Amino acid sequence: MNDIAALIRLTLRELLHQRAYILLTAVALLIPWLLIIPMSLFLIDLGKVLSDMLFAAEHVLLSCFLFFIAAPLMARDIEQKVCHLLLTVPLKRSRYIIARFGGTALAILPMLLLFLLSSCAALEVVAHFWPVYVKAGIGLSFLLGGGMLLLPYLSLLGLLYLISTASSGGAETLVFLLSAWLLSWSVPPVLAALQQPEVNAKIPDWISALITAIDHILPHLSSGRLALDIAHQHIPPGIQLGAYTLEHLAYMLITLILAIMIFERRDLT
Amino acid sequence: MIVRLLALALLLPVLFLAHDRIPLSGVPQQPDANPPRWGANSASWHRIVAGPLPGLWADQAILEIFNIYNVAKDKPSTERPQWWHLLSYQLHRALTLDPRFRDAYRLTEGLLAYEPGFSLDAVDILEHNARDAESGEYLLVASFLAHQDLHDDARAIRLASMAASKEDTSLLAAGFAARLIQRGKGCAAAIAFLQQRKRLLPEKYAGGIEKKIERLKQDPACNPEPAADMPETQAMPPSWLRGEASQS
Repeated sequence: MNDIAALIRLTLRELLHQRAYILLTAVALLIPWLLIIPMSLFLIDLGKVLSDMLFAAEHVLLSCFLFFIAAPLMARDIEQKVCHLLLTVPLKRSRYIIARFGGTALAILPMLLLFLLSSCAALEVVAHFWPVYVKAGIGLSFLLGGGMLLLPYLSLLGLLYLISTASSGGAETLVFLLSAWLLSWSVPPVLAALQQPEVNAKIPDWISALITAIDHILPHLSSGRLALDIAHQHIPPGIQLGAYTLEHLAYMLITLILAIMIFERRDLT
Repeated sequence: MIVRLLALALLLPVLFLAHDRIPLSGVPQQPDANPPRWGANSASWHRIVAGPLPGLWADQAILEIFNIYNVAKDKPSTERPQWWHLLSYQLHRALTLDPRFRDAYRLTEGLLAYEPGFSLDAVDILEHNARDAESGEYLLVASFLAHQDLHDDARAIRLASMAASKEDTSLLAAGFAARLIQRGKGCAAAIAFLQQRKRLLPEKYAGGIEKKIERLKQDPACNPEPAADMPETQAMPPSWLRGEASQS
């Protein structure tokens, strides 16, 4: 267990000292306060508008982390043979992947925590100065929503490990990661649109059955729906939140297990 | 070094020139001859494009409405319908993406509803989203519009009863519908109601309501006596649900 903990610590040190990470963290602290400026353009739903913009900012921050900090780490390990150094310790390949993944996932937390706390403070300040337009307790709702939004990115991080263990280098990893990221953005709303009664009536039965089957492997509560409900301070039912959490964690574990299976068989020479 | 500084000095005016020429706001100076109309597939399409950020795209639609209104408000009456079709499209988009967005409801009843020829569109939008609207005040306005502009009392009663089902307007809606539909008292009540709605919009967006009040006052069939008929409307309790707009 010590070898995993040591590699997690090393990964954290590597990531947290990167200039890109420090810059992202500074942006995460500052952006909630800057978003108050465009918020003031609106008429009534100021708290909801600020929450919408904060959720969008969180998507951008987490995507930047994935593409510019997490993806290059694994690509560098494989391309520059850094993993050879670590595996000669000796360290099992499976433990190497688990530790690298654990370190990367933990590295998200300081940045995200600072962003959520800064957002919560900004929302509470707005609620204090404009109590007519912002409901009390909006900061706490956002903390819950922002925390839940991390889960799809943990799934994507698992997918990144699966992609990088199978790909030949950084460029290939980025291309496949971008495709997976675009799919994760577009599939839930496309499925929801295809399941509308008026659209469903026009498509053949077998396609309809296929859509229903695909829909069953995705969480019923999409990230978009979650963000919208939280912005209006409607907390989704606990069972939906639980299913959302479980389903994303299951995706993360599945992709991680597949990544380990591929990496154990990979020729690293 | 001097050459580079000179090159920079020459390039800066180019940037300002380009900034002046390129329409950065995204609002066309002239709308298309056939502005986009909200159709059966529009909702699905916009939901797909919005991805996991439907709320943000709904906010963007509201900003788009502000842009359109700023360009369109001073256009001659022959050009106005094209612009108002664009505005209506954005309201449909905002409420499709976020059916609880109060800014979109306020602009539907405050901007679109008082443009001649667009009352029906506004009532359709408000009625279509009746289930999702958290407040009954917008349904109350739709009921008023159905009675006053569309002369469709059956629809007005239906909308008022929908408003009555909402917690914040239940008593008000019942009294409102009863008074509004009472023949002969509609005009003064209408003016009082419009004046009350006007206070909830920023001054720069209240031109449409103001014109409507003027039209009603000049209508020979209308009795411009003080609006004592609307005690319920005047007595609306100030709450965050119907607070004045933050920009006023």
